[in-house]
Amino acid sequence: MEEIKNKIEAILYCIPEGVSTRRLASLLGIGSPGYIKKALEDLQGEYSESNRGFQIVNEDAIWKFVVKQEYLELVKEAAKPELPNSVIETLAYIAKEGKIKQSELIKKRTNKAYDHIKELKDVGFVEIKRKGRTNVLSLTKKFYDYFQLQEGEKLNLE
Amino acid sequence: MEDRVYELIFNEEDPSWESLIYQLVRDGKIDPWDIDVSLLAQEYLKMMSNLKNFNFRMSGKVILAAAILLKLKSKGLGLQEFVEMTEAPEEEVFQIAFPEVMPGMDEAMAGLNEEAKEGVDIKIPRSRKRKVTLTELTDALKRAMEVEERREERRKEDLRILAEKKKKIGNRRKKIDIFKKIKEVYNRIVIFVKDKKTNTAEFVDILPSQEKRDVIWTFVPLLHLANSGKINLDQKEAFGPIFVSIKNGRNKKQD
Repeated sequence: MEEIKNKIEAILYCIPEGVSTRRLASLLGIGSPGYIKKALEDLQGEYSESNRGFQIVNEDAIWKFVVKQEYLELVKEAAKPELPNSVIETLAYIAKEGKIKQSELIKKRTNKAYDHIKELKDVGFVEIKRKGRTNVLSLTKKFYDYFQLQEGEKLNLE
Repeated sequence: MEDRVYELIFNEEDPSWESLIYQLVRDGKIDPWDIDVSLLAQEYLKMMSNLKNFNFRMSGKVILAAAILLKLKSKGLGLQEFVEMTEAPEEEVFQIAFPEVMPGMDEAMAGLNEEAKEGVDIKIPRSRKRKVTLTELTDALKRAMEVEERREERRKEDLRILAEKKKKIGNRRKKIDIFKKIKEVYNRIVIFVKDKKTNTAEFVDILPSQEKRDVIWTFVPLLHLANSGKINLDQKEAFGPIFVSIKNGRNKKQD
């Protein structure tokens, strides 16, 4: 088990975007994703106990190393955010409104926002619901969890 | 192999040279690794020194070709940051040219050819990305609001300029009395036919000048006069001369 954990650790270190248990199983040539999951959970526990600056998380079935929330400001300059600035701006705009018609957002953020919406939907921050002739965009639970905001809380400049 | 690419870029007039490069890569006829971009630049400089005049079209073509080749090579090396700076419509080509480089470290490592490994310092791990902070989200909102404000100001300024232009044009615009114009044109026809002792005038004969404005303000009244049955207009062929004749008993000036 220790050897497997070391290998998993090495792989996670080298793939910042994270990896699924299935893929880990395939990379390690192990037939049982359940065994991999157990090793990952052990590793996660070890990192958590040893009180380090980063941890192993499982986000939407993808395991990865992330910097702990309290050190994010510290590494701001060292690492790039996982979303491009323009996409964060569009997300911030949606977060300010809480819920917004896609057409209204496009008017404010130009046509480029279509791509931003797609990216935000793909990462699971925004959900799209059809309403009449337009789509209505709203924030998901993942968004509120990620930014540690109360569900339904709107972003403001204060 | 390189010669073929240089030929495409420097000699061929075919505008589809770019897709031809992709096609050659796709068909496996050329390998982007084998093309020395610096040689391409040298060839270009040589050619430029032989030319008497600058050829900006050629400059653009060479720079674009060099960029395409560099991009294909950079992708192969996993220089993701460089690749992200550009859009990647040739994804399919890349997958064919560098099938070994797929998302995931293991395949990328396994696949990068030995030549690349020796020549380039491949950094592992690749640049690590971090979570977006709430402060960044708030800062992004500030930026987005500022952009929106600037856009709104620009829109208002554009509207103001447009309104000013309209006002200026409006002030300059002369009011034309169409009835007066009709009378003037009619009297011109009457005077012409009396002087020439004829019944028919050609359109050009009654024009005060060849200026566009005079042509229009002679033609429009003529249409009104023909419509009210005071004159006949006759044109044998499209764009041919227009003949104007006063109807019988109507060859008197109007006041």
